[in-house]
Amino acid sequence: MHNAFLLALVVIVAIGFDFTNGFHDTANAVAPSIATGALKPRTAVLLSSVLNVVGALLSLKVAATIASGIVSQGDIILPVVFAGLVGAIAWNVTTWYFAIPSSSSHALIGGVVGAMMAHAGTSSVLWSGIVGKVLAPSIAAPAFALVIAALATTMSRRLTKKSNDATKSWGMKAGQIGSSSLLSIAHGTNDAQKTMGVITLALIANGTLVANSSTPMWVVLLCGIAIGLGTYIGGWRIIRTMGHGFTRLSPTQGFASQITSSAVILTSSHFGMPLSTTYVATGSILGSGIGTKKRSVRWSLAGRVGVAWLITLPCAALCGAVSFYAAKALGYSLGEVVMGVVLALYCGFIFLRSRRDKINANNVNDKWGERDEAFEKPASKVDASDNQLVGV
Amino acid sequence: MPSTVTASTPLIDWHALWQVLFISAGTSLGLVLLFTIGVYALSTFQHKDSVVLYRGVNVLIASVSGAGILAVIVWGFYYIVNK
Repeated sequence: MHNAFLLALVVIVAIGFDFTNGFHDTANAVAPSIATGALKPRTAVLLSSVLNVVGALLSLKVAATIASGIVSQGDIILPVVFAGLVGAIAWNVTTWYFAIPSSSSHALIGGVVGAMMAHAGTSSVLWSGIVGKVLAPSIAAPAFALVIAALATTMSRRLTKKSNDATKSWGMKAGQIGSSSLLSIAHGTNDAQKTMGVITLALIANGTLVANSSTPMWVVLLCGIAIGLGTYIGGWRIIRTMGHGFTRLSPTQGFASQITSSAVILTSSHFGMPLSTTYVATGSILGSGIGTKKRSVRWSLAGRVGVAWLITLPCAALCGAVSFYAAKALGYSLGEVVMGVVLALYCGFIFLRSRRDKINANNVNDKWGERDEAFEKPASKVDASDNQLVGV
Repeated sequence: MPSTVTASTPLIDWHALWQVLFISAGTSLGLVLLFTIGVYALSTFQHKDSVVLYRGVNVLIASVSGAGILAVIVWGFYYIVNK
């Protein structure tokens, strides 16, 4: 009974994490399509939401658990998983409030690592796995995406210099719908499976499932629905940052960045290299900005996001560790209930704060900001080949 | 006494990283090039004053590019389902 109660809490919090993962990462697939007008905001999140659910249901193979190769599997107990999820949700909600596209996967890894260190010390963390599986790909992947998207945008811009603007805009927008769909389905498959892996791990740790069991169908369905709902709610704040903050996206840039993101994510996935879809999508969008004639990128914003990336792992780890210590001090059952309530209150507080400067489907495409006026090009000097002002 | 040499596993799999870079670069640039050619051909086809043969060639290029892109996207979905 005691374990069943803990297990139920872990499952509820894991589903909650999956939901935050959905709305935090909506931007990865749809931000360029919304920014260029390839899809209307509500249509884009609905399409992405449905394809995320489809992606989650497509593959029933048990996903490699998020903790695999990161922490010592033998030391994992349910309260560690719970505290890790609490840390990840807290960090996801915080970065969402500040409209920062940070990695949900890294938040989860950080949360689990922090809770694990609090439980079994630093020796329980496989540091080589952290460097090889988390840090190296998280630096390399956005850099790859940035370079490739810059080349792709430059090439496409130059080749279509003399084409009809309306046809070019229409063609690129059509391409964006396809690439956006591909990204959504890939995200549903990858990210929903991570949560499925966490819940399966909890079920195995609790003895509900035997080792190496496949993920039960109810877990697959719950995770698919949670990530789909989260995606449909739409992380409009982050969509705005990715669609309008880094650069002013044209359909050519949007298409190049989305194709690049899809290619990098699917290729990395093929080689078994875990990476953050958020970092790749951000790198691609920055690259597409560099590929424009004026190399128009808001580097100050990119710098702020870079700092957030650097502190994601340690901050989520700190949240996870604090959550574990608090739950342990109060007794695991009571402690987890208390931490769950604290987390719910924190999420409610952040949500209420976010209502002060609400961003939704109606204002997600508004001008980025008065202080960035200088960034915009005067209309009289717009170069049609740059396609900067088409479709925005 | 025979000595044994143990191969240590590298911390970072540089080989895989380079493979990811080259394959994703090839795929992305190839796709964008194909699509751009298609869009350019479609744009040229729309010029009413072009000669019929030139317009025909352009519509052919646009169709082949479109089919290529569609095939890659279908393959992408297939890969996601079956990986």
